[in-house]
Amino acid sequence: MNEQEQNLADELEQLIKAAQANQASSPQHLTPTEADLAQNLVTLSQTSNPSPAFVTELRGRLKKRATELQTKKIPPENATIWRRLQNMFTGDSNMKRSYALGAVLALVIFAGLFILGRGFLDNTSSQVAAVTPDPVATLPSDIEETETAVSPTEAPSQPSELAQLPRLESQALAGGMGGGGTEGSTELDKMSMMMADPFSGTNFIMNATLPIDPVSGLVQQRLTEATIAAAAARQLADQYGFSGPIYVETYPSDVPTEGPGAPPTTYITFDGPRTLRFDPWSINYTDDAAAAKIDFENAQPLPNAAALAEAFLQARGQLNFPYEVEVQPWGDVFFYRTVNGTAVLEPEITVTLNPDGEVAFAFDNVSTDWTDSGSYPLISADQAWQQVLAGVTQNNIMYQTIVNEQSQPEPIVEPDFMADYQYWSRVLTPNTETHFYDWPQVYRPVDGGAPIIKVRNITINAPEDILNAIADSRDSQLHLWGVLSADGTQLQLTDWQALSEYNPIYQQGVITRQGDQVIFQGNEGDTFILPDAPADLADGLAVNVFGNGVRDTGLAYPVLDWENIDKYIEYSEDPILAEPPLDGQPTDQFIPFHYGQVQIDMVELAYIVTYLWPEESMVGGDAVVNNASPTIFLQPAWAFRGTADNGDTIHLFVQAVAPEFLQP
Amino acid sequence: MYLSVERTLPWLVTAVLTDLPAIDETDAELVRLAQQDLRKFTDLYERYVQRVYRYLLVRVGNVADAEDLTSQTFMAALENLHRYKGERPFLAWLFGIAKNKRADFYRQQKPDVELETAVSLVDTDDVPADEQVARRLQIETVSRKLQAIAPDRAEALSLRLFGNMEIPEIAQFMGKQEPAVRMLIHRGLRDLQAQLNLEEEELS
Repeated sequence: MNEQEQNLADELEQLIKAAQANQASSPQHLTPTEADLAQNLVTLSQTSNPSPAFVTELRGRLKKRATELQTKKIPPENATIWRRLQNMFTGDSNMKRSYALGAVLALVIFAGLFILGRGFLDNTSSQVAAVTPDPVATLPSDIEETETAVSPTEAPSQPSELAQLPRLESQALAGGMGGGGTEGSTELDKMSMMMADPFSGTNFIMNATLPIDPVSGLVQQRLTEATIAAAAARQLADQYGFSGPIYVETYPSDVPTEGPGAPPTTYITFDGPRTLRFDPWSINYTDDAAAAKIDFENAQPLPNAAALAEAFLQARGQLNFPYEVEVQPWGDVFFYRTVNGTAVLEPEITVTLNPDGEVAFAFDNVSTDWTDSGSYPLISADQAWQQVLAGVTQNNIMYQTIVNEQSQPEPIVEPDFMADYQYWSRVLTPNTETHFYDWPQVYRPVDGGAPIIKVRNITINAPEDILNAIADSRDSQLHLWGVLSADGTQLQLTDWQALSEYNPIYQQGVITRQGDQVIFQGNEGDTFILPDAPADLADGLAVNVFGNGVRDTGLAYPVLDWENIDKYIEYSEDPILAEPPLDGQPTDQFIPFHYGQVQIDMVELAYIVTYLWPEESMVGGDAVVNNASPTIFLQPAWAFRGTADNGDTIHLFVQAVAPEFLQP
Repeated sequence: MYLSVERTLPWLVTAVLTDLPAIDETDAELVRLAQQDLRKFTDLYERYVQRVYRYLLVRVGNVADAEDLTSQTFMAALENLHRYKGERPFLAWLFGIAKNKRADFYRQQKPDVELETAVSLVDTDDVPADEQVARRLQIETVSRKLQAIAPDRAEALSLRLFGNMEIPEIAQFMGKQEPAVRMLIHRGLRDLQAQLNLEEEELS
């Protein structure tokens, strides 16, 4: 590409940007036909919208499918990875946040998959402490802890006694540990992985003494039960201080209630702003009042975060296993189970505190009922090292890379094109008639009685027969209206209807104020009254409005039950992103990233979580995996930790159990 | 009063069918919420359905298949969300699925949709019927001509103009440098122009 073509390409990009922002542009070098075509294509694109009926229908199907999947409970993966990622991007770097994100993610694509859990961040950024079991704490008898201490040098079990363990490669994708391995992935994933192998051709240097021990390692396992008995559910709710009725989440009518495809029972109980939701996979505690005090974008750890979190969990009998506690830089407290003094990579419990030290969220993987699978022969650290040298990807070695931001190129300074942006979310007015358009959340009491119906976390108050009728209509999107309570948590229902069709409104237009009324004049010719309009919604402001429905209330214009409004953005005609000077000739060829050299400074045993899924069952002609009941193994891996030549931190995990004891 | 976490973060619910550029931090937060509770996936859906649909529409040329592939794309994204680890931006991951679905569509050797069929697939919205027909005809024509130019150029052009992806996003998605993507788009536009001119000449 010569300089002239580069200029043309840049000018075309400016034209496209302007056209997409409905701005005029005056290209100097593009031919008029090219400019017209680009403009026309943008217009064609902007007028090629999916029909509202299709969008609504698909949304409904997705929501229904999501509910089905949610009930099947995909393995408890570490959702806090995003918090970790965010922390990496927002650490001490002076890079602009958005660019840092893009830059780091760009490298991460080349550098491979992140794995979850312990070791993701430098220990220097966290507070870590090891703790022995609390002998006082207890759990309900049905899910009682059975930790057994075994010496790390214990002799291996008899081979005939040892079950075959899951391989890391299948775990990498099915269980979410990430990195290495290609089994079960799509062709695109495989191709991406091959292209993205950052250790292809890497020169590995060992700067640590390879340990000789251990030669065998304890493996633990547990079978996840499909459900929790009602009595145990009551006991757990009591432990968390929820004395009210316990409810069972009710799913769409076509979700099977028993058999291999049936979801586990999910219990939920409420106490004002506090909610406890639990099933065999997890205990999820939420305190909305405490959470409201958290500034998620600027969260910082409290000095006594670990102690506060420990006290909370111990008071609820949730810390009766050996663990290490680690406070994350953004304030969350992670509790890691230890096996023979070695921490498992994934945290078992995570606790989020607000600035007042109150627990806003506590997520417990309910990793109980562990039994020993036996002491397995391990390959030596040297044998594991030879696998690393023979090829990371080829040997299905899991890895994680922590990008050294200092090694990244200086960010491109871009104008903050969203600085002028404004957004308003509907804030409902208490003690007024309020309309909702949504699918209901239905909770039926374990001990009988009226169900709880919630819409957007707001509880519907109505006679029991009405609530039952709504519950029976849970497969439909509903329009419910009534008077919102003073605290905004309840709706005194006036009436409701199941929607045969849903016609959301999304329009661009202008705000006008006429007396007390705020009017939206849409560019498509519609005029609506906006109830609960924000006071700072300026007269004459150009906006986009999204609403769920329109009602004729006898006023001059129909009322739009809007949900959010955002200011129409006036884009600058200047290019948003300044290009860096070209370094040599641009190329169409993708150049994969490789580490030139990695020096390993530490070798140790680590524990990882792996899953063995039950065989598929045939249900109604379809193969169904009983996702509710995998067997989970905690098994050792050799961890090689070091630094790459560009400063990135590298962790490699080689399956330590001897290959003859692994699943084929 | 919306009390759930996502309702307190204005970025999270901004873009219901908007053309605003994606903010990755928000995507990350939305993904995190959806991975915790899959029912929140609809926030991601609402954010991107229009872009995915437009991209697929121009690649397959008719509404029925675009809707079918859009459905498949989001259903697959929902069912595989637990596998998404943030190794690339969510938008790129989503478009990767859409691209795969489109590839599957062509591999199935579905017979080409005839022009008459495309015209008959006009859906009902507020746009006058004659304008809808003209629009569908244009989409069908552009789609067909895109298949006649170099795949990389057609892909870059489609992603930029119909998927509304930014240059850095396309570069990451296609594994190319940004200047190369700009070049592909420009050359794609030029090739498309040539194809359209060719058709005009043939018709005249």
